[in-house]
Amino acid sequence: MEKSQLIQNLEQLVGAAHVLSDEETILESSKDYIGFRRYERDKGKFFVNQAACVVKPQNTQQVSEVLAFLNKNRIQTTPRTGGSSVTMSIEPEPDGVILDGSDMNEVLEINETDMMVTARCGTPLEYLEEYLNKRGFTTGHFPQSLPMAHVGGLVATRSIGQLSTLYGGIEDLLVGLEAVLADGTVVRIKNNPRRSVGPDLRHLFLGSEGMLGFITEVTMKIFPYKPEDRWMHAYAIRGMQNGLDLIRSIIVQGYRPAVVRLHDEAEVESLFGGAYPEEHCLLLFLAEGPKLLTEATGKAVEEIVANSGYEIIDLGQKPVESWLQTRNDECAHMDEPVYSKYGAVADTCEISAPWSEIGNIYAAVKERVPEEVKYMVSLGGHSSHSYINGTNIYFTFGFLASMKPVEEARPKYMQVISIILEETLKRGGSIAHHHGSGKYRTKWMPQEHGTSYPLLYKLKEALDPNGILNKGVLLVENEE
Amino acid sequence: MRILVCFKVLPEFETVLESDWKNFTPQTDITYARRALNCFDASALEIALRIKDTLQTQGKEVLCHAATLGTALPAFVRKMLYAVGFGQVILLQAEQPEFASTAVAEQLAGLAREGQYDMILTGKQAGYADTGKVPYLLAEQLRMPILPEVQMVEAVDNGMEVTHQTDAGLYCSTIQLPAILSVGNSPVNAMRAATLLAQLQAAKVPLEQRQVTLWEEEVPRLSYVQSEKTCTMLPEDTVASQVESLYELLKIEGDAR
Repeated sequence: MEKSQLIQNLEQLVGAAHVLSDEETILESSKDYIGFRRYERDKGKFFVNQAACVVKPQNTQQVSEVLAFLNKNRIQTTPRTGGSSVTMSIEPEPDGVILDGSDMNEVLEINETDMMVTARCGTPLEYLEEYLNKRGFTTGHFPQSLPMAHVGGLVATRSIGQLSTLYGGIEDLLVGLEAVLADGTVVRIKNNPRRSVGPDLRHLFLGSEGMLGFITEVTMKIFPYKPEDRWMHAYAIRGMQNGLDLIRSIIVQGYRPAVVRLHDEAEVESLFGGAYPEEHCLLLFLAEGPKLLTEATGKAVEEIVANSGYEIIDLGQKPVESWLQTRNDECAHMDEPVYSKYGAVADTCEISAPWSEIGNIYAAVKERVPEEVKYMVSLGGHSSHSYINGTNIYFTFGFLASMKPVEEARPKYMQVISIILEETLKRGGSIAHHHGSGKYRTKWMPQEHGTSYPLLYKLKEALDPNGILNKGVLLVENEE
Repeated sequence: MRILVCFKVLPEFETVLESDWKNFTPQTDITYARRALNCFDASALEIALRIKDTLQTQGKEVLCHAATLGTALPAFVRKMLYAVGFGQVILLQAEQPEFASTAVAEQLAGLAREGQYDMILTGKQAGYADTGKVPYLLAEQLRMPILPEVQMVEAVDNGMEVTHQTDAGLYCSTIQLPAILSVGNSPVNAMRAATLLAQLQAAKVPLEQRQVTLWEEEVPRLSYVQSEKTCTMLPEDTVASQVESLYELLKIEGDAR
């Protein structure tokens, strides 16, 4: 279909004001924040496919009509809301359409009896959180992208927040949703505390990154908001494995502080500006909730730490307070040359694994990356989301790229990622913990899923047979 | 050629807690605050390295030293400075360097005389107290000419080509050494990063520490100024009535002051 014809048809469905085909809007809507793309943009280069237009439906009905039209005409479609992707998941196909739900921005209902809030997909999480706080509630969901992310994208990427050890990830917070399939069918999964009526259909959309349907409405749990009852404490500990063992001990004994973070020595230097003891890792703990429970959790953590047998320095509560104050500041600088001014590409890669292997993965990556990747300038990691059976490691890395052409930043970046994901897969870990996998981790999906991988293809066949939604995300393209 | 760069590592004040701001004194414990090179000093350090690079490609010998005055120097900064090519990193260890511009300049001058440096690069801000006086006091102590608001310095055949900002505009001057150059807002806005390998090797190089005593200057009294932005919606429908409403609001605020 000719581009002009495509645009005309879309304008008839949503109105001309909501179909944008100027280059600036398309580039802005295609902007992904994966490290090498930030570097490329800082250097004035744009290597992203150019979509035909951006469509901004105003309601579910319009989403349905637009998708039905795009599906009928087999036009590649890239769903988007807040645009905080760091995995290339919102980069469009050439001459495709970006389906942007960010105008669908409304808190529909707060149900204080059933402790739920319903919002449309383009509702910014920061706005939702402030809206709830004024009424004495919280979502409990605090990803670092909070200033940017919208609820639709948060569900689609299976996101997690910084207080997840208490509140859980988005999969624990999601109650129900409404979504539109590729053929325009609107589906609603009702809001209930728990159901035993077949497979949990929410999980068709939770984490499928828009390749099985477009989420239009989300209902999440809410919790009482009592920041005045928090307990917090920080410690310095020698040795990352010691730190991992310590936090495992806290979690396995049944305590659930909202924040349990362990930053390695490299991150104490790079992220905390060397404010804490040298050659030590940094532990940050925060408990919140009912006052008595918070106090008991804090007391238990203090005792476990004191009796751990490790060499530990008590840093008091100010490090946690300071971290709380600045933890999302990165968002304000996403479009600034924060790293490229040093000639560097910097980014993160989060993986997860059982307790028995997480330390081994961390050590293997720390050894292998500097050996094999030239011009690394930083490599660190932290654990930030813990479970009874394991935790994540969020690797942070940077390398010098300025001595080579800009287009060589990406292959070098992928060299670092390859090592991290290989070492993770070797030891039974998972190659993505909470950012979504987007397009940049797709090639490892067969190894990640193993014999269960064909199930994803079956789902795709059933829900998006024409393959219009988010091509290249999660599914390796099969050769004809 | 011998180059000295005077630098500071300062707390990043965005990481200081509101509760500590409210009762802030030079004695307030803000050790938890993230540390970073002062931005102007970072420019000065990078400019020095670029001059070194240029002169070394011409086969000339260049020594670049970096010196700071304060209670301590974070190990990662020391490591980074050695890793990017500074030959010596010196800490003049003293208590309470804030609001002691003259005393700080005296100590740095003593170091500069000892090292017989041809060029001294500084930033333009003295600690978080920001008196902006140290480079000038240093020049006075050493009886050296000083060029402030420097944006760029490049080694040329007959001296140093210095781009600097004045009230009349941007000037490019070729100067003879010795001189002190105080770096301001420069397009060279960061010190280069060092590779992990270089950092590993630099980690073993010790810091040169010297104990110094500063005589106290008068410490001004600090008070917390509450500065909030507020938003008032003008409920009127027409522009004329909104203007009238805004005028009344501003009049009330003006009278209140």
